[in-house]
Amino acid sequence: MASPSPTRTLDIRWPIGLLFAAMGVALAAYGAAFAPRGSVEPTRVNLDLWWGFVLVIFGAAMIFGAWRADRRAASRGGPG
Amino acid sequence: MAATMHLAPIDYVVIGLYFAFVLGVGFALKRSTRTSLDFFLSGRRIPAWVTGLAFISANLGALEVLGMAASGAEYGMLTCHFYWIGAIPAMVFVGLFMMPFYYGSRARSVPEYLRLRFDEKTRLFNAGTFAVMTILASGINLYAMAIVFQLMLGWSFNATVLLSAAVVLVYTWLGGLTSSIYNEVLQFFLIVLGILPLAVMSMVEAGGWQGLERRLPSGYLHVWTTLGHASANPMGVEWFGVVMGLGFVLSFGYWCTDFLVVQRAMAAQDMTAAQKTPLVGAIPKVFIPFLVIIPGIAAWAVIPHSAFLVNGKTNYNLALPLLLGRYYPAGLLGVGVTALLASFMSGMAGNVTAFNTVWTYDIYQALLRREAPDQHYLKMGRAATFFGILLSIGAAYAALQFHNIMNYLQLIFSFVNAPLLATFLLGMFWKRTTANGAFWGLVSGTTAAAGHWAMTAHGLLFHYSSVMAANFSRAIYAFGACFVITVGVSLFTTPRPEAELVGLVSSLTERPRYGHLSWWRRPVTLALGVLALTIVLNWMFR
Repeated sequence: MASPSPTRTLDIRWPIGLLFAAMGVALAAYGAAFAPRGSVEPTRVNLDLWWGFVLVIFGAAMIFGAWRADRRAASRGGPG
Repeated sequence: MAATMHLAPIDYVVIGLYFAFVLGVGFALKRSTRTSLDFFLSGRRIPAWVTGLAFISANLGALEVLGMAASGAEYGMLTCHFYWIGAIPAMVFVGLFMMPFYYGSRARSVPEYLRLRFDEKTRLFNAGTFAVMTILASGINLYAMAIVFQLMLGWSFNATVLLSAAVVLVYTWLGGLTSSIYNEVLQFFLIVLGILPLAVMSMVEAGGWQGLERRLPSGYLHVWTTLGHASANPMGVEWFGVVMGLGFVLSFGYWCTDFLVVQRAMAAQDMTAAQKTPLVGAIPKVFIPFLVIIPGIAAWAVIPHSAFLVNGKTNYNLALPLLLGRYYPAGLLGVGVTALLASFMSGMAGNVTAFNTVWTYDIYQALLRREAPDQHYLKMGRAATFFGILLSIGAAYAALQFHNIMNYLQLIFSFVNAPLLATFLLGMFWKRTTANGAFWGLVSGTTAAAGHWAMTAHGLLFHYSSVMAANFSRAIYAFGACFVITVGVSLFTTPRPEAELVGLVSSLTERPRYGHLSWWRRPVTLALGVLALTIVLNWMFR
């Protein structure tokens, strides 16, 4: 088995969560302010606004997972 | 090109966020990259879901995304064979049956396994061809990226090559394989979340599956029923070539022996995670056709075919860029472009990290400096990253000079990977296989592939209905030649004593035990689930 390293590697869910949350916020805000449109609109929804929300929810779920894992590791007092 | 798009400031904000995070991850990982094992194999401490996503993501490059959409537009659902028969069975096989030896032997690379099992010359043969292949693949990826962004967005070729190479250099220099794996996982989610709205929009516009059936000839929408004869389908292939050539030799040759993907599993935190790596990767892999192939088909159904014309010829590669320009407003377009950018860059980083490992462990340490402090190899790995990227830039400019270099690359892959599969199957599952058998088998398999190619090119002996049919067939010949020669030479040479082969050969190695895991956590359960899902999809779209 792998020998545990003394340093804990950054949990990948932090950067993924933060990046998607930031992208989602930028997208949703832009969608809400300008309601930009594609050349062809099969669904007529504000794509930026709604997909921005989806990205924020996904990012938040990742951040929550990372935060919970870090807390567990901290309460065990060792590398996770 | 008709698909030229213009980015708004918001799109550049989204792209900028991505660059900031990628570099940030590199710096954050530098702290935990202290030994050569940290740098080359992520210290073997990555969980299965991360290595699993990296495993398929290393293969889900932008070329694959653009190419599979193009192939969907050109050939329809037949393209799904590259996933449902050309990937899943091999991924299940490598996870269940080969990982115990790759991971269990503690080899640090695929060539190193060959040294443990056979000898130094077999390892060097594989390490040398692999190093050349990865640098070419990385350079071609860089070239394709610069060309795509030049055509789509009007970006300068030189600026795209140099800027993206610099970013990849910074983050792989700092964090090694971990940086590369993290970026592959990030890229996986970017591709899924960046392309999904496009897939939905294209299906809505086409009027769903029924709409596609109304708009396209029926042959487009079946996976199996047109494979009875090569003339009955647009790909010009028949079922034997698909099952044996693509499904067995090419697919197993790639997924089971290519260090670029196997390295991800070697970085896993334990044997269970290593076995699960390709199995976890197989789950999203089953569904990727819905993300890239079906939108490609829908593009051909809803977009006027004149939009695909470039200089009077139909260019199917425009399928995905046309869809992006058609549906995405400013903002979302930035996300879609970032997804492509990310997958090009992670494709390059994946090749570079595989190259620096094979260079440092299998060429430098094996031939030039056998005993040195660990920090020396860590430094060499970083230096190899730098030179690997420099060589990739050179390869990208070479590709700019010789446009058909891409076809040659495909060819080299088929020369190298198809025979290697026979070497591994015999090496792992037949203890009688000897080092000389393996070496001469590999040499003759590669020669057979080259001979088959030369004869097909000059119209001697072999005639095929399409290039793809010839590729499938060449793979079968190369594999067969390597298999027969390896067995033949092995029977006339002395095998190694069994005691030396424990942990390397199936019949002499104890199987990993999973009695302590509940049944639904065992690799075999996951494997059966993925296979069942694949069979259901093959049946549904037959």
